[in-house]
Amino acid sequence: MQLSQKEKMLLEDLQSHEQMVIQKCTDYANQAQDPQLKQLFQSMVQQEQQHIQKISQKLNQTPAQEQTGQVNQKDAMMCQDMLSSKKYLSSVYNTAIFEIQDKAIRQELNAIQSDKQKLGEEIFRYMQSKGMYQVH
Amino acid sequence: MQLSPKEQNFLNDAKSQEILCIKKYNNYADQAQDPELKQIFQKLAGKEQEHLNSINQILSGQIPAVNQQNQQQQQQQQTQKQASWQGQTGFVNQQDADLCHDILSTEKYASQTYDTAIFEFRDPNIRQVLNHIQKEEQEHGEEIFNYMQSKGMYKVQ
Repeated sequence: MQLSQKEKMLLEDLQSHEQMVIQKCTDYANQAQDPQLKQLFQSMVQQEQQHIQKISQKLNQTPAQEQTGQVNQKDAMMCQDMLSSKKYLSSVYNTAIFEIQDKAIRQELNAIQSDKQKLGEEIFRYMQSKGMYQVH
Repeated sequence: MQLSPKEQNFLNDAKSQEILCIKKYNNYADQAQDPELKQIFQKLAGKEQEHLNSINQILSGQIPAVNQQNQQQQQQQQTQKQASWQGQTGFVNQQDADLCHDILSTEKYASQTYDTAIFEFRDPNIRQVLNHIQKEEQEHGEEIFNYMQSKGMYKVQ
């Protein structure tokens, strides 16, 4: 079946997340001092590679994506990692806000959440200017 | 700025979420037994309608104005109400409690939908509008939360 625009977008999103995790896991496997942890990261890389392969197949692509222009892959990975952290933090704040009794604390948390979104925006702008972020 | 298909997707998600919220608030306003809760649901149905209008505006290429003054008034009303609710615990209307729980989940989900969308927009003005709507969804949640607490429907451990 032909993928819809939305389905394609979501799968591509998953693909780029998987790519980031593979890169991160590989780096961490190299850096880890405890052999047991090293092994854990290495086996995770293998798993993630299978995941990305499955996703890429659905997108009718080969897992190794063509490199876009002069993008520094290492920097791009760091940006994506940071952006993911900001998204995750914003979401954690969002969960907390709904559960707090004190109005002042809710407002404070909302202000921090907005800051996370702003920081995410800054990274987004940088990535866009360097061709690291595809807006389809 | 022309919206990309990705941006449009996020807006359409928000739109269908808002439509669902409006339907739910209207239905629940009919079903609620406590007149006070009925009133809250009716008011919030109106608020969600404003959100839907804003999203439709963005989809048509405009940037809606964010009304700060309106929000301040609303907050004042909220604090006044909050004070008058205190000390009314005891009997819990289970049917009303179920409505509250469900709509609170819906608000959490709506806020999360905006949270996901915000990070994907190129136009900073659109991000700002989405952030404003998200804040209001959180405030709706707060209003429901406060009502539930005042009626002993929400246990904070």
